Amino acid sequence: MKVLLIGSGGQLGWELCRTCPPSINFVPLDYPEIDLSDGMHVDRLVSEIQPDWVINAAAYTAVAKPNPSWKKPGPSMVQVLVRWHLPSPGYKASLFRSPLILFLMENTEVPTHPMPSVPPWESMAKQNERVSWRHWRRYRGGYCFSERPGSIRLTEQILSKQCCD
Amino acid sequence: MKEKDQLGVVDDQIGTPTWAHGLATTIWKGINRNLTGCYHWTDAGVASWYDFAVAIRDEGIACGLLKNALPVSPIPSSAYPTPAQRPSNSVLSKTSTWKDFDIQPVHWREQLRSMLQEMCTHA
Repeated sequence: MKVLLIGSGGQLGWELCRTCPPSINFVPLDYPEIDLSDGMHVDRLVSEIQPDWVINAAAYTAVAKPNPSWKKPGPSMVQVLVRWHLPSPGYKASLFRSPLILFLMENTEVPTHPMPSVPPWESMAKQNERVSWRHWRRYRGGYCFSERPGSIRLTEQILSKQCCD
Repeated sequence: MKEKDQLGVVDDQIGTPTWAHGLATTIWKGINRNLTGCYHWTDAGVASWYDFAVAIRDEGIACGLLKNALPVSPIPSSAYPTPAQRPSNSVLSKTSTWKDFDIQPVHWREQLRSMLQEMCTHA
């Protein structure tokens, strides 16, 4: 079984590396080998690797510190991750064929800038200042997190096979 | 803690400290079992940040990583404003995870102790 790990240099990634069972064909990657801000780059890599599972352990660090870059237009990491799972023509990634384990523990402000123009995100962005849990659930059925005033805390992992169809 | 004379730590936000090691082993177990769906994960138990800080101090002293019992005082969240607003209660139910993954819950303090002992071993 081949498992692709994104974010092998982080806290969780490091633990996954050292606890990986010997039976696993393990492919750990970290930035800049894999750049989550470049969806096509990710698509290409995943297509080459052809993993049976994808674990995303990449995330923003130091969430308590203000990050000026979040105020700038452009896809955030969370948005890029969701974009992979949108059935849009531009992003038919191999990820669609791999069960994904995704951890989103971002208990800080979600960027309020306009989202990428990938339907239906565009209309979503016009109607909502913040990404709402309802929208996330709409796409994958597996996203679970709680929204609180002023912040979104993503507290659950996603184990999804729904990207095969 | 080695660099401070005293600490003030928020005591009105509760959750469960979690060792990434336990999460990693849980992930591999989930893959091995081909489990899909949504599962909560943290270590077992509940603690405030203040409880966690006191435990780190005490366990750190016990395993020799810290030398002195640094005074730790509880403070309200209002005394420690952060850019990211924190929830007052982020405790999660892990019942279905423990059942489906066939995992025995381990208290966060035990996990903290294991992690610190590992640090001592590799220091």
